[in-house]
This record gives sequence, structure tokens and C-alpha cells, in this order.
Amino acid sequence: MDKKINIRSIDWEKIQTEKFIRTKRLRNIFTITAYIILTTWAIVSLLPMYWMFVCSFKHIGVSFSIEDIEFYPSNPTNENYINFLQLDAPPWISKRPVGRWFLNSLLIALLPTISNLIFDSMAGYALAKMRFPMKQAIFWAIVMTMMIPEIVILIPLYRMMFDFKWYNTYWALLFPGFAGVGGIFLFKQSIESLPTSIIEAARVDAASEPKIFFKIVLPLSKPILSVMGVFGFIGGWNSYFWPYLVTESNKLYTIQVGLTSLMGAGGGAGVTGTLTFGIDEYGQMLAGASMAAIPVIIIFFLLQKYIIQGITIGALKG
Amino acid sequence: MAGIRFENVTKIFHQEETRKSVVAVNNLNLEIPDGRFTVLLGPSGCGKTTTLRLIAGLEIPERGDIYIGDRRVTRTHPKERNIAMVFQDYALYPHMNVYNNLAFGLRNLRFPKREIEERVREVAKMLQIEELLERTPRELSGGQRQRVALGRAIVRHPEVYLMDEPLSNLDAKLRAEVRIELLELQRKLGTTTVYVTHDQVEAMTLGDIIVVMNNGIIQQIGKARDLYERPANIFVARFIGSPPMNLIKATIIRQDGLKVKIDDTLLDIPKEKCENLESYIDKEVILGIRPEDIKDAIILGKDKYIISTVDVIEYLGAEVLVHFHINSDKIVARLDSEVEIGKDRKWRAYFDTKKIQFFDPITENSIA
Repeated sequence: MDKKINIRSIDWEKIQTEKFIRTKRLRNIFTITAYIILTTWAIVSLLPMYWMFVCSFKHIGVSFSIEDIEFYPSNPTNENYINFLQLDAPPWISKRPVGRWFLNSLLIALLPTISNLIFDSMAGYALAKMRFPMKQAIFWAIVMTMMIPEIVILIPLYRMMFDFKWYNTYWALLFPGFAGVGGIFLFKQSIESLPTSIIEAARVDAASEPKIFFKIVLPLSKPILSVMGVFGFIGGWNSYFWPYLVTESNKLYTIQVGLTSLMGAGGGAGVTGTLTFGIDEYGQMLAGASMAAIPVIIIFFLLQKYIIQGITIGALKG
Repeated sequence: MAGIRFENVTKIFHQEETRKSVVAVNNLNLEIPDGRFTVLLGPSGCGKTTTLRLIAGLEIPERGDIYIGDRRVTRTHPKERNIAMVFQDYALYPHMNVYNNLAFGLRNLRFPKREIEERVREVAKMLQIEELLERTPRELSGGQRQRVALGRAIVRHPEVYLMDEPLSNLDAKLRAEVRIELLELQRKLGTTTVYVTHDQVEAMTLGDIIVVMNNGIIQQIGKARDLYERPANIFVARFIGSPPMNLIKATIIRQDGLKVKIDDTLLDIPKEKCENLESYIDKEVILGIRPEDIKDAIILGKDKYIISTVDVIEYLGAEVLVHFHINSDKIVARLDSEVEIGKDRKWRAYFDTKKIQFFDPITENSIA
């Protein structure tokens, strides 16, 4: 049977619109799903932080167990903070040097980071732009050390600190972090992308080698400097195992080590000469942890741009 | 101001990855005269840029010596050579504004602040970039960047300007303009200038002296006209001129004096060339003739011509390029728009024998 379709009777516009709506709907579903997953992820990640802040305002003796979880403290108090900082402790008790812990954390976050920026960028510049014998071999030797897991060198490094008589000194705390292979590698990759002609132009323009480095190369390496700075600071501030390993006196503790030392005899490092905490005094520890988290959070919000850049640098050039 | 002298200079590059060595400049002896515009011309990889970088001190030669004026500078740092260089990509400092780009070199040489300011303003005025002094290179057009790069060289009042293909990043129109400006500027300043290019038009228009290089060896040194009219070898003959010189296999024979035989046609050889060709009688030579020296025999009314087959005619307005061949040699003739070609595509080509050149087929050197 002859079946004729009248083309004019087809509503093309309607078909197009339906198709458009279908694609749009599909795209919306995709976006919504992505948002749901990311939001869940964000909540799961932020929950411990939130719990830490909330619990730091709970009264002493309140249960911290999961059954008694509270999403906001019913009766907030700042006594955990006062107790943690021992603001109202009697004068005859030798106090925990919390201020010192923060200072030590600041030192371990700042000094190795600054030194890393200086030495790693210099080494990176030399490997990227200077000509000298065995350059490739030296570069590969440096890169190969990246293959060795940090945990493997921890014990030899610890022994070394003993041999240098640096154990339980600031040297042990700070010195091993003064230059880093990863930093050298990243600086080399980044500086390599600068046109060599700029450096040669400066050389012809009668600039000395240090001047070329400080006036031309470093200013043009601002992105990588910021990224390395931010990551170095956060890494240093949060570092725990190495400071814990090489320090004994609580005057050398970083805030992270100090906090775990509050876990009492059964927990982390025993704190000699100061008050130790029972399991009930989690509140104080959470108060300390909340304070310790503040610098990192501030840095994160201020320098978010560079942190994201840092992640992509790793993705593109790593 | 100062001249530059190369004495037996050799530069070899060792590639670490491939473990190969490349001789970039091979036993170079060259004298670049004081106050003149010298162009180093050649194809890429011929060693011209390396030669320039050797003068700048950005490369150190393996052998030989380089003098600027009377000073031996072979191993001295660029900053001690009193030279200024314009790079192909301009190499402006991207994080500095134009003023600081111009002042950077003077500050390194510890000029007083006031003099730096004076010199920068003077050069900015000369190059008409005064209103750009506060901008960064990113905010400049290609032509403006080029001026700043030039200004950075001029502001130093060096003994020698080195220029590494400074016009190659400009569009054709701007290039032609800047070329003339550059020439005027050099005439005004009178400073020794060494200019590297692979563009023969640039070389011919700019150079007081042109040094043609290939494979790290100088092929010929001379004025544009010398290179064009009397190329020293086949390389120069091919490299200079567009379209290049036609090179045709031919034989020298003796028949009422010396004649050159192309295909089956005998052409007279000018008397002054005969003497040098005596030893080539009955031997093959390469005959060179410029496209404009081949003419239409019928229009000129000449009776000595070569009958050839036309492949293509290119119409260029004021002139036409006639592509034809004799045996396996492809030939181009540059003619006025008038040309008469038969139906069978046969064309009577007249060779202006006063203008022909001869080359040895083995050594490829000019013989007459």
C-alpha cells in the first residue's frame, strides 16, 4: 500500500525543540549527579574538621563517643582552650610550652621552605640553562633519588643526626629539609620553559650571573615560587613524623608533636615534667588541634589560586 | 667603533644525547670592517648565527681567535666585549616595562641615574617609542617590540651591533619599512653592524658587505652586485637571486675560437672569458645564466637561439617567468610581458652570452 508522508505536515521545529530539551535534560542530570558526588565528598572531608571544632567547645567530661555525637555543642564553653594553654594553672606547675610549639612549627614551616626556594631554584636554573660537563648524568642522579621512598631513608638519616650530634637540636629538626629533590625537578622543568634568549640578552646586557638569576630568572619564576612556597609551608606545618623522631625535649616539639604528646602515657610521646592527660581530656587536644589548623586554613583561603596551580603543574610537568 | 677579525676560528657542538659532533664554524678567517653594515647570509645551519654568537661571547670557539678592534676577546665574557645584540625573538624582559628594558644594561654598567634617564629618553625619541615607556612587552605589537629590542641595543652606545634575523617575525609590509629604517639608523650611527639573515633580499638591500656561508665555511665575501653578477661558485649562484641563476650542462669546443655547446646549438664565448676556458676544451662545464639574461629571440630579431619546450608561464604583472627545459636542465627566463610561443609550445630562447658564467662541474667553482 502506498503510504505518503507529507513532509510539510512534520513539525520540524517541535522535533528540534524536543531534541534540545532532551540534551539539556541529560546535561542537567550529569551536572546534578556531579554536584551530589562532590558535595558528599566535601561533607565527608569536612566532617572531622567540623567535629574537631565543635568538640573543642564541649565541657570537660562530656562523652566524645560516636553514640553521643552532637552537631553543635548544646552548652559551649572555652574552658578547653584555657586549659590547653594552661592560662589558669597555678604558677608552681611547670607549664607546657605551647607557645614554643607554635614557634617551632612556624620555624619548620618557614625556614626549610625559604631555603628550598633558594637552593632548589638555583639548582633548577643550573640544570635547565647552564652548560657544564656531566649535566645530564647529574640530573638523572638527582631524579633517581626521587624513586627512593622517604620511609627507607628515615632510619639512616636518624643515625646520621646522632653521628652529627644533632639529635634533639634544631639542626636535626630543620636541616634535612633545607633542599628537596622534588623542588629541584619542578624548578628545572619550569625554568626550562623560559626562552634562553632572555638570559643571553641579559648576559650581553652586561649582567653578572647572580644578577641574571635574581633579576631575570626568579621574577619570571613567580608562579612556581608561589606554588613551592605554599606547599612547603603547609607540608612543614603539618609534618609530624620527623620532628617526633628527632626531638626528645618538649621545648623542641612542634605543635603537631606536642598535641599527640597530650594523648597521655598510653598514647603518643610521654611529656616529662608536665601534666599528662587522661583519655577524658580530648577536649583540650581538640582545642589545640583547632588552633593548629588555623594557619593552614588561612593560607589555603589566601593562596587557593596557587594551590590549584600546583596541582596542575604536577599534572602537566610531573 | 671597531672592526672584527676572526683568525682560524673553529666551533664544534657536541651533542650529549647522540654523542655526535657538528662543526658549525670551520676554520673561519674573516675581517668585518669598522663602521660598515656586514650581513652574514646563508641557509639554516650554515653557521651564520654561530658566527654572530661567537662575536657576542655566547659561544666560545674550540680553536682560533676573535678580535674586536685590537682586543682579543676569544674567551672574554659578553659584558666585557662592549657589544649589543638584537635577538630574533627580541628577548625583551617580560616582567619589566619598556623603560626598564632599555635601562637594564646601563644599570649593569653602573651608569649614573641621570645619564640613564637621558639616554633612554633620547633613544625612545629616536625610535618613536616615547609613549610606550611604561608598558610591558606583552602590551606591545610585534613592530613595537622590535623597536624596543633595537632601542635596548642602541642605548648602550656599543662598539658593535649584532643582529640575529631581527626582521623575521614581522609581516612582509612592516619588514620592508623597518629594513629601510634600519639602514638609515646604521648610516646615522655609523657603528659596525653584523646582521644575520637567510633572506637574500634583506642581505642585498642592507649589506655594505655580504658574507655568504654554507656548512660553516665562507663561500664568498663581497658587495651585493659582485655576488649577483660574479658568484664565486654554484652555491652562491643558486642562493643569490630569485629565481636563482640557471645552471645548464654544456661543452666547450674549439671552432673559430671557443664556443659553448648547449644541446646542439653553438654559442659564442666573450673573448675575456676564453683564456680561462682553454683547459676545458672538449670537456663538460656548467653554464650559468640569470633569468633576465635569457630573451625572446624573435622579438629581439636574433638569429642565434636555442629551441626549447615551454613547460609553464607564470604571469607576474610587469614581467613573466617562462619555465622551459633543455634536455634535463630546467630553466627559467624572466621576460617583459611580451613573449611569443608557438602552438607546439616551442620557444626560441636567446642567451645574452656577455652575461654568462662558467663553473667547474667537479669543484663547482667559477672558472670564467
